[in-house]
Amino acid sequence: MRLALCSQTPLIRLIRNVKGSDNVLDISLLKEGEDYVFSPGGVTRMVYPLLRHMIQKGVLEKACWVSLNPRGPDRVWIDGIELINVKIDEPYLKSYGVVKEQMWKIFHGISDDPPSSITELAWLDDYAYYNLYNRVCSETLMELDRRKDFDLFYIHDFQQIPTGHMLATLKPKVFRWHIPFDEKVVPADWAPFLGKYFNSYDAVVVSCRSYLASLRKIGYEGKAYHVYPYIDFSEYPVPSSQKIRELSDRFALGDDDVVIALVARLDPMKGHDLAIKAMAKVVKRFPKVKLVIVGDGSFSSSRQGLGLSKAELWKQKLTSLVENLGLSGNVVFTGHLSQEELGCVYARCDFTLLPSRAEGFGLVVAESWLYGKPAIVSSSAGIAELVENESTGLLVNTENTDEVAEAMSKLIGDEKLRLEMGENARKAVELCSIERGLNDELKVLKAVGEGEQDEPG
Amino acid sequence: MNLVEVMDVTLVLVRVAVVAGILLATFISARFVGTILRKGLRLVPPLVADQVVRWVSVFIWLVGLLLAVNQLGLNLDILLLLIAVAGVTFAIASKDILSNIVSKYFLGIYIPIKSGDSIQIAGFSGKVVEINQIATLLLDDEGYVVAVPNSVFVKDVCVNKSSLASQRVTIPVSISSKISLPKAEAELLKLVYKYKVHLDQRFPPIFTVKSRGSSQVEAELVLLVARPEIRETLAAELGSKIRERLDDLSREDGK
Repeated sequence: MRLALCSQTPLIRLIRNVKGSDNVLDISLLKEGEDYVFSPGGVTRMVYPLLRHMIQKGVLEKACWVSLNPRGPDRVWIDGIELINVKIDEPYLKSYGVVKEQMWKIFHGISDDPPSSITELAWLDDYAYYNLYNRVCSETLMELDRRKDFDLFYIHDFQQIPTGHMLATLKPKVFRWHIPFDEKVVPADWAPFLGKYFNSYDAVVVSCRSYLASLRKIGYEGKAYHVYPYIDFSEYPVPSSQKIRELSDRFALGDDDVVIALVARLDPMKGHDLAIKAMAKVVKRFPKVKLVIVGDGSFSSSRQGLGLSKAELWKQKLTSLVENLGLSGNVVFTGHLSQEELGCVYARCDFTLLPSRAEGFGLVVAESWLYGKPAIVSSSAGIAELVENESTGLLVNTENTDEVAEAMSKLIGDEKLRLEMGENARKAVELCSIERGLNDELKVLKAVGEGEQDEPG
Repeated sequence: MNLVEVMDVTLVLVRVAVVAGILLATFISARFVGTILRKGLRLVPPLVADQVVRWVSVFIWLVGLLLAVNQLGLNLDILLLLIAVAGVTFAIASKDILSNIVSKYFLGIYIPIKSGDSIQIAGFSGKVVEINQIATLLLDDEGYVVAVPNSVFVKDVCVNKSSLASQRVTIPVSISSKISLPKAEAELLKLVYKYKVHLDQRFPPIFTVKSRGSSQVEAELVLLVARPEIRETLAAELGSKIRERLDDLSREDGK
């Protein structure tokens, strides 16, 4: 199979200026952490292992991955995958960023400022440049197709939804929607506009079963599948006790502290503030508790990305909240951690917390399960579909901080329960394994590529 | 070589020069008239304007060639007769085809139908699945394909049973390949946004590329007007503004 992929977030971000021949870089000649980093986020974390496994399995002959990377080289080679970086001019980039942020808020049901509707957003001048970015992607994909003759186009994430409509080809087009698609947030009167975009794809894949019904309600008539997101377990090594000790010392985590890990990029939607407010209630009963907040900004908020400043603003708000609630000794902000350090956090913590106000899926819960740690999970997260309440985790309404504090207290005060749930979690994580994901993805791609009528998944 | 022979050669050379001059003048006239016509036909659909320019250009070349042949001292009578016979034969033979091709340009603009609509015409009804140069194909309730010649839409009453058809305006757009398509699209959308108050705001404009040639991209902008009675006025005004904006972009990119 020859596959063309497109996602806004690029797989790789250069962290220092590295020049390649003809602006083409071979990543095998560079060093991770010094020259480049992998972009954070579920999309890249999921799609990259998928492609590598498809190549290993011999089902993928060629893959080109088109992404927005205004400061990257033209092309990057990694593990036989060709990454093509699309660039748009600075003023257009800003407008694009404004629209995609607002869109993201709208689909998460957290837009505070107008426009609060997709159809209103699509009348702003900025939207014309959001459209421009998608046109640049579709033109790039079609130009690549003329040379490489792809078998299928796989477009990822909400920012790219117009790309499929713009791709003038009869070759199969699949769209993967990663963020929530909740019918409570998506009203019926958006159907004609959204439906036009969705219906330009041969198939749409969502992360949860519940999103399928919402998809039909907006008038999508094509093939629809749900494939739970997945992780490659081999990328999560078991850290040595020495490494765990070093990390504990670095962030002042005492041996007798109960450690709660909250792994999420710094964004209001992730509900860090709700966790901190719940902590204020918990520490009254359990003073030796530490909330470890791992993560920094997304690609959009990074200087190498779109340069939006929301992560820094959110960090300032959270820091003030921690100080105001007198929790400076109980809340730790680690910032970005390497994969190895992240493994140490999971290994050291007693349980994890995902307090998101809205969450397309929540792969961090699967990561937590992989390390045998139960999770307190927002019932608004997509992965809530897989959480067995009181068995692999606790489901909570995170807007109710009393409920969150109660769930935290329950796990803090009962080590036996934590360990039992942790064991169950280790089994549950198989639902999010790359092997299962690969199997489901291949079924979808095969069904779409060969025009099968049945709907797997 | 005697004097008479020298004069004959000179005469031939002069005639050849005159013929060359006529051909050059024909070329310049065709280009000049084409440019003037394009500007003058701003308010008509670009595809119709293209056809008019093409036929006027053919006519100018025909006149130029006849004058050139006349200068060479050849008898024009037989040539004119042949051209007239060929023209009449062509016109008779292609009358139906031409009327269908011309009618196609009115579909979507003045006769609001497009693929996906459910329509009724000349005793047939069905869903429009294709509008090609010659005919519009309908898929009827029994699964049969009905090919309705495009000219029938100009002569007969067509009922579009699709909701919103009365509000829909389709504006064809030809974008020179010298202009960046993403940039042109963004500029045209911004232009349409200025007419937001006259449009149904539940349906933001959709720009679709229909075909790509070596020299230009054919696209269309589909809008829904707030009040059906302003369809024609809006289409004409916006169509004119779009052509002006594209001309500006062409000049900007040419600098």
